[in-house]
Amino acid sequence: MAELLFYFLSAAALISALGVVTSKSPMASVLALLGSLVSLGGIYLLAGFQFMAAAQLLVYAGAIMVLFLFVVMLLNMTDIGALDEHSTRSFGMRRMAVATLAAAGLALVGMAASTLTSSSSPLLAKGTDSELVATGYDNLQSIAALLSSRYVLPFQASAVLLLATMIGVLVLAKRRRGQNFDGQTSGQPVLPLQGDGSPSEASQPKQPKAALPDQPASSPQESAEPDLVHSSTKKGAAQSLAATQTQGGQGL
Amino acid sequence: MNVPNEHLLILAALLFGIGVAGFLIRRNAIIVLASIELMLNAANLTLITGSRMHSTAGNLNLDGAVFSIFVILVAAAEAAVGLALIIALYRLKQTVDLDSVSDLSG
Repeated sequence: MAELLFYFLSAAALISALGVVTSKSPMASVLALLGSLVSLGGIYLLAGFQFMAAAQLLVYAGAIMVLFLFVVMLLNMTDIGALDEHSTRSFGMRRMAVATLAAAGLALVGMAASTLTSSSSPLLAKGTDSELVATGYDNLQSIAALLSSRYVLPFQASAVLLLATMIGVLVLAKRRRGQNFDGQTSGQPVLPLQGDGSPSEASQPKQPKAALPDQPASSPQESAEPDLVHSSTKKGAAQSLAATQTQGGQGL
Repeated sequence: MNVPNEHLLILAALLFGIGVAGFLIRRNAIIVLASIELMLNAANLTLITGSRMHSTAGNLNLDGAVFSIFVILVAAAEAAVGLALIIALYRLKQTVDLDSVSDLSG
């Protein structure tokens, strides 16, 4: 029974992986990746590694998938030319629905598999894995002991890695002053100096919200333009105040 | 589960191969990143299979599981940085097509 479930989950993981590679839409691809991750979590559970299955579901299928889906939806890639023109919207949506349903079904299968690998299950009473489970094959305590004794240096290094990742992501993804994201915020003022026309707010050198240019940067030459604006804001508050009063009307 | 370890290793190899193919063929940056995640998952499955292979009923071996925890951690960090890079690329070029980002290749 568990063997049949393993081969079913392997086939699901492989088919989902092929769906990741072959699907046109990035959304369908990411949802197929979710199906592959969940079925791999079920395989971990069947192999007796309960904590690894939990970490797979929590970190991969939870956090990383949310990150992927967030970026796909943020970039709104169903509208831009990164996709093929052949993939119509309804076809992509149907694929997405199928992938999501498959992932949910695989999650249910994985939960059902947890009952099979428990030590009290009569189905696996003769197997070696059930004996391993009964003797604490993958309990959290031994992993924690291993992490804090033998692998304490990689554990600490991983903390440093997470901190560096956090800072790096902030530096990379932070919207710089005068840099626009895409056409969705095109209703904002042109120059950062022209925030809402009030001189008291524009004369301050640090204003985070009003620094949105009007036109989306559709080419590198145009995207280099707000940097000039950004450097000009550092020259002086008095000059920016004068620029606000002279150019305040034409941008809006 | 009385599945031989070779089947787990074969599954991991197939997943890794599919990930490599997607990484090399596809030109959408997000799908390329998803293929990298597939490859890391295959490596995780291999590590866990190694841990299963080297443990007996009385003698537990969790080194592979601990290493796969580190792999999951590195994968999370890599996904965060990669997606931030994709956001920065989209902000600069208005596309995530990797063929359009060949300015440094001359």
